[in-house]
Amino acid sequence: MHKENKVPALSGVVGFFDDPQSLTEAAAKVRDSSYKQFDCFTPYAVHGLEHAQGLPRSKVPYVTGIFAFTGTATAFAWQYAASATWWPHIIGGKPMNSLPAFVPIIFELSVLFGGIATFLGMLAFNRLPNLSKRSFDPSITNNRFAIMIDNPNAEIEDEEEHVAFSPEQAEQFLKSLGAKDVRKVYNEGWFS
Amino acid sequence: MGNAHVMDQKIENPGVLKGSGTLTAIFGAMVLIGVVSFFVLFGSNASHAWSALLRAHFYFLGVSICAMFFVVIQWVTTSMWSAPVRRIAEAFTAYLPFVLVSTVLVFVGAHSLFEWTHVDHAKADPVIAGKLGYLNMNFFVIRTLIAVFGWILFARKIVGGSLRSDTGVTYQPIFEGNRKFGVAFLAFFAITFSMAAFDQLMSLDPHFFSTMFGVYTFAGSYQTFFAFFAIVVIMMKRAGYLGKLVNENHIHDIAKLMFAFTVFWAYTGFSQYMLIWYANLPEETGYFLLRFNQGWEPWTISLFVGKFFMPFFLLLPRGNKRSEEVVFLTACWIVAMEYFDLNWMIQPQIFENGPKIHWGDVGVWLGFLGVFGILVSRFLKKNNVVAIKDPYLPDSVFHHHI
Repeated sequence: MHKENKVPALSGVVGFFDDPQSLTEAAAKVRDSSYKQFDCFTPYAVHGLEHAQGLPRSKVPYVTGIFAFTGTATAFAWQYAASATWWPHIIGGKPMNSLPAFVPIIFELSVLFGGIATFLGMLAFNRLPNLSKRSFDPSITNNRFAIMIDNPNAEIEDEEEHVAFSPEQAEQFLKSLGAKDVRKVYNEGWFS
Repeated sequence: MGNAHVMDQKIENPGVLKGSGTLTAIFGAMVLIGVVSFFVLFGSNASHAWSALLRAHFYFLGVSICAMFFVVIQWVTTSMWSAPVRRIAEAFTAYLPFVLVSTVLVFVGAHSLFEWTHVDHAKADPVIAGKLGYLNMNFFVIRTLIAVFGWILFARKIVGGSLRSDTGVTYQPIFEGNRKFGVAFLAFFAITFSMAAFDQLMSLDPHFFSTMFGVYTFAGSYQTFFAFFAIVVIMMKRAGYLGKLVNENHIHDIAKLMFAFTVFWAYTGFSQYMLIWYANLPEETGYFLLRFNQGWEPWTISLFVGKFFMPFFLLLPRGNKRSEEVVFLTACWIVAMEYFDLNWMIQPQIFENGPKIHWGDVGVWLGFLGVFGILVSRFLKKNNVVAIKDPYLPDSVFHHHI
């Protein structure tokens, strides 16, 4: 047992499904229920699941756009500063501020900034890398699909701020949606 | 089990385009306007009339052969998303036989358009004289006819295969045949379309050469094909033919391709310009010097803004690409811009001192649009507007983007 003999906090309740179809139908019902915090776990991308879960659109494209245009501005400013003000040289009889010659680098830097920002933005919005949490069951990376209803009180220390949440009711709810198996998930390892 | 709910829903065959006299009458009137415009222009200036004809001819040559290119890409890549809309692109290839007619008209007008057809004058100019082995009327006629006949034959084979699949014959041999011929077509298309662009547009200035010219013309034509495609698909959807088969995800895909080739057009156009600007060789710079002088400079800048920046920013947000109204209006804008682009390629070589736009220029284009409309709607009145036996159709109807 633990040093302080404290029961590990309940993270939530998980229900397992055998196929993506029943998962998607169940997820839509959880979305419309009073459980507001839940997530789905699937071994591969399931089309239509994001609608069933009621997920909003990804914000990654905005990150890409903002950084791509930052790249555009940076590349122009840098080249203009370098070739027209800091080290003015006449090359090939072209003017100092030669926009056509700048365009390839403007394009490349827009793509570079946009590409790196897309990758980092994706990691940030997915809260990755995540070294502290482990998969609660190996089968969700193999052949099973799961819905986890989060315990809304898991992160709240002060018991007075806790909202009503009954893990048993959540388990019953998942079973009524057709879950083949339901379990409670604790912060450190899981126990049935 | 996963797709059980998908298979349960029956796909209704929307059938053929119902005959509407009004549509034919409108297209017929356009053809009439075109013929009248041509003769009005011809009466004032023969070169002007032939240049208007060449422009309209190349415009619809590009749209119809790029439709064929699109169809073949769908077969070769075994594409699923396009199954409910592919037949519309196949209908555009019904215009290809008329390309033969308009090509013959270009042969007739060649003497008013191409400097190299004036053999005595060309022999006196050492640069053109060196190119007469390629730029001569006989070889021009032969290679152009080979290209156009090739396109028509490939279209008969590949689009014919698609039409045959509607009758419910075994799909596999049609599929394999179309893929095999499709790959051959892609190679044939790459060579013949570049050749058509070199011969019919680039050789208007026989001193000039640019290896980017073929791909530049292709980029513009393919962008315009997607614009026509989006317009017809949205109109057919509104008219109730594709209502249950085409959803906003298909519109999104077409708009994405339109967006992609907007960028590609700018990319090829700028690559052509920048290398010529940088290298600064006299035989190449003439082309752009002409287009930055003599009243063409505003045209050049508006072309870049209008054909790249405007569609680029209009089609950049996801919501716009999924909105039929925005896609439709952007497509109409691109249709107009391609006309400006072709005019920018052709007119500076024909007239001195800037652009000359006569109402007859638009009239001749309308005439070609009328022929295009008659041939495409005739195709759709004879054949199903959807390739109803395509095995990818059920999956594609419930096509969904994350």
